[in-house]
Amino acid sequence: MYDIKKIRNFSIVAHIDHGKSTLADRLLEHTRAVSAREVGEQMLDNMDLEKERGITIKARAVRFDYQADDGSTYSMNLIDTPGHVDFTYEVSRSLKACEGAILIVDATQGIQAQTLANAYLAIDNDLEIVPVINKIDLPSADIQGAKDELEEIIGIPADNAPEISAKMGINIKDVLERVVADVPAPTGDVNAPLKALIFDSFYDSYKGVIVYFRVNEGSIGVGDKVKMFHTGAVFELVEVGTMSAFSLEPRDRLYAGEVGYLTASIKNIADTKVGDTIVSADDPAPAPLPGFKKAMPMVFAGIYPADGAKYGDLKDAIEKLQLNDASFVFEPETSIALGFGFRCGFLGLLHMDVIEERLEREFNLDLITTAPSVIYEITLKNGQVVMIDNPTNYPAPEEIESTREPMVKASIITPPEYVGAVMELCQDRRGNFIDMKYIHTDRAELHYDMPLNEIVYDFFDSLKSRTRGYASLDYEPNGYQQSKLVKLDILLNGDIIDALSFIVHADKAYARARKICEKLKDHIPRQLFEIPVQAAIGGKIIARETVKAMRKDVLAKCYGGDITRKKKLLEKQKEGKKRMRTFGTVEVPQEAFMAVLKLDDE
Amino acid sequence: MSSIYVHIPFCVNKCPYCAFVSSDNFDDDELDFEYQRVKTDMLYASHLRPVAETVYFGGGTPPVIGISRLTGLLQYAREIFEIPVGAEITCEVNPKTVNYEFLKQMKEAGFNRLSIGVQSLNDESLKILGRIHDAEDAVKAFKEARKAGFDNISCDLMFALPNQTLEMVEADVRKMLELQPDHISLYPLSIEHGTFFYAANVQKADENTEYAMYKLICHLLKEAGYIHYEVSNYCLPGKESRHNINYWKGGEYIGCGHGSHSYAAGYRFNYTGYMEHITEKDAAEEKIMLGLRLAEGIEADEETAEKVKKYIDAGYAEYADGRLRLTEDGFWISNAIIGDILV
Repeated sequence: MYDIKKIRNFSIVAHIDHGKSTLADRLLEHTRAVSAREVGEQMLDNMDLEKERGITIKARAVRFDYQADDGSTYSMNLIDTPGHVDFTYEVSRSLKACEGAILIVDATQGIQAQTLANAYLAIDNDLEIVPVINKIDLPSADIQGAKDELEEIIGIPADNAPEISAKMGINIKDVLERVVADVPAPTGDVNAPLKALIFDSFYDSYKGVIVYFRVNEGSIGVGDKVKMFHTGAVFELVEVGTMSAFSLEPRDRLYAGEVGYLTASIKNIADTKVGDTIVSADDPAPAPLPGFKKAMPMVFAGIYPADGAKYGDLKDAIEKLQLNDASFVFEPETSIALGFGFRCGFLGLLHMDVIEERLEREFNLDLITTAPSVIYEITLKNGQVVMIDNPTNYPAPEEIESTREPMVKASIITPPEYVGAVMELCQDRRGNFIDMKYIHTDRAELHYDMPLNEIVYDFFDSLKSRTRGYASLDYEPNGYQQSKLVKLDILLNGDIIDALSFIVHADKAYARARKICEKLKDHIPRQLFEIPVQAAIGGKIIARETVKAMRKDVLAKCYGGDITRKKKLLEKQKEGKKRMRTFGTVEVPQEAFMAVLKLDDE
Repeated sequence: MSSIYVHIPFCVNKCPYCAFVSSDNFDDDELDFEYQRVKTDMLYASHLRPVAETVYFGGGTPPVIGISRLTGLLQYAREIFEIPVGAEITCEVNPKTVNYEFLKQMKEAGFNRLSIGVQSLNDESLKILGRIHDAEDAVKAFKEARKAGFDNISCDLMFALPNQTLEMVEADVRKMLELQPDHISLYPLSIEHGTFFYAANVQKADENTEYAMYKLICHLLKEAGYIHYEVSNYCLPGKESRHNINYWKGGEYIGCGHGSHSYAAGYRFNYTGYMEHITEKDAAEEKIMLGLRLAEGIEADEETAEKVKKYIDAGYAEYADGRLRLTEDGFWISNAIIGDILV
């Protein structure tokens, strides 16, 4: 039964929306792992949110048998990967578990930023690339164009690339045949000490943490005592097995080259970190598999319950979410303005969006989120260096010797007609132009060195709106750079609202201060007194607006026929009140916090 | 307590700011049809609530249907409802639609209170408002009403009109006070959806001017001995509108005729077929919402008072002897205050 030569471990990489999940479904369907009837929309994406956004957040894996034209039956392990820049590390671990990758190119769109990023990631991991041209059924498909791009830009031969339509189920078998023919079988010694790579894990309320792994050397089975090389945690295995499309299928043992899962009543997902190596506890392999990194949060924001009384609920929800997402970190924090909440760290903006939405949707919470921040490096006059991820902790200007901020190398692919708009945006966001390449005449790839702080505001939304959705973005960390930073405080009625403070480049402080004051003025309802809305740097006011005092809101006439109308008005008022936070004497609706996060009006 | 409201949806001329149900395009058949309809509604109403402690004819302009129909409807109401002796029976009139003879017949039929739509005593303002009468007509109608025996007369006056100054408001009020009406309703112009003013984007006085006018009016009327007993209503002692106080105290009322609204037996309903069950909680909230329109305010516990502490501290509300009441300034922002209480 076990024959390492008849195993193919592969994943699918693509730009978002290029058809990765649809192809995965078709592959499973083709091999009858599931019947067409059972294929929901995009089976590999388990979470509702993923379905809605069409992105895969957490990797999943599935094993199925395929009877190839050569007469043999192959064990195929399809390992799905997340498709977004925020999850680059997770992608790389999933790829490490494979020998090959199907690279999908959408024939109507050609190569996009994440196609490139993921292709390079796969090549860096020594994977055999199986190019596939998708969406050939669409009238705007340019198959030859897509192939030319593959050869010119990525430098892989594309002549034999299957031309498919995952949606219509055209030429799916070709893909499987190419995987069998081109992707090498895994290698590994069944008798060597155990080395298995963790590429995903999630929390199940019945079995505890379920760990997905690939056996590189040796074997692993029920009852074995294993150790996580980096975390040092030791477990006795309760269950080992493989994953079918819909269920876990227990096995006694898995051997080198195979992909599977294990459970061991593991309570804490942090013990089983993605990228760690599973070794035998009794006879541990001397060295782990290479490449383990702790996932580093890059974006930070405060998350508070809109209703202060819901702090306990928020805490439970955040803890539950973290069970399944070790890359999401949090610690309690207190804001003078917002009360008790959490400082949360995310891999990137999308990750932050996803967490926020899950908290609101799955746990039915109303949240107030502060402006996202990155980690700044501040050198104080006394020589001390501090890392600041929360504007509240920003030192006073007179104590600061110098400031540095994290940079990223951003790669943007856009149709040529938007190059001007993209350059303008990047310039506006303090980007340093590196270079621009034309890809096959109808797309340009621009590289910029940019402060991460400019990307975490609303860069992605702005990019999309300025290019009518055509541009794509990818970025990777690129060290720290000296920068003129200041902390901007927002004052309502003379009091600093700590939750609205943020760190900004000195040259942009004035423009942003004015805009924030305007936005707040528009979103704060009139109150009993006139309320000044001010922005200040270190005590110096640089912008001011005024929320006028409430004058009249009463309905002058209220007789029989007016009562219903008046009641409706009050209902609205009541609803609004529930979403208010009181700062000193000023009431601020939740929308005001949201509004200051979206400053680009275009 | 239960009241009867009769809506007469006809006018000589539809005013450009008016959002009430009324038409200025009708013939005798329609008047007869509406006459019968009001009678039918009254009949139903009398089965639901046989006693009518106040009766109010509003509109529209009730005199437009003619004296015999007008007195006929009141006569019919007297036949089918039990209307206690001394009950308040009001009719709204436009100065141009009545004369001494007409008013005398109304008085004889049993109407004992008039609400005259004066709106302004400045001919320029009256023109802007599209009224069919001038200031002299209004003064004349008022004097004839007194002569016909009406000892309880209310006058409507509007302010915050386009191009109106504080001086004009003061002149209007002083001229009105010369007549010594028993009751005055004072409304700032509001530009309502669906009116000609709304469509034409007419600009009323700005909010600061409007507020200054309100304060001026409060001052002038107080000085003249009038009690500011509701957000928009002022009267000489003992001359409050009993019919309207019933609305503000959450009492029952049954509307008759096209354009009327009712609240009885736990339901609020109207001529469009709308019907809503008013739960005990709804009723309690409405009591607060409506009760705070009255100067006497509402019964309130310490906890409620605490919710509006900032308004009390700032002079918008007062809390004493277990009652919460809004001040002159508080009336003006009562939605915000009530909103805070009800959250």
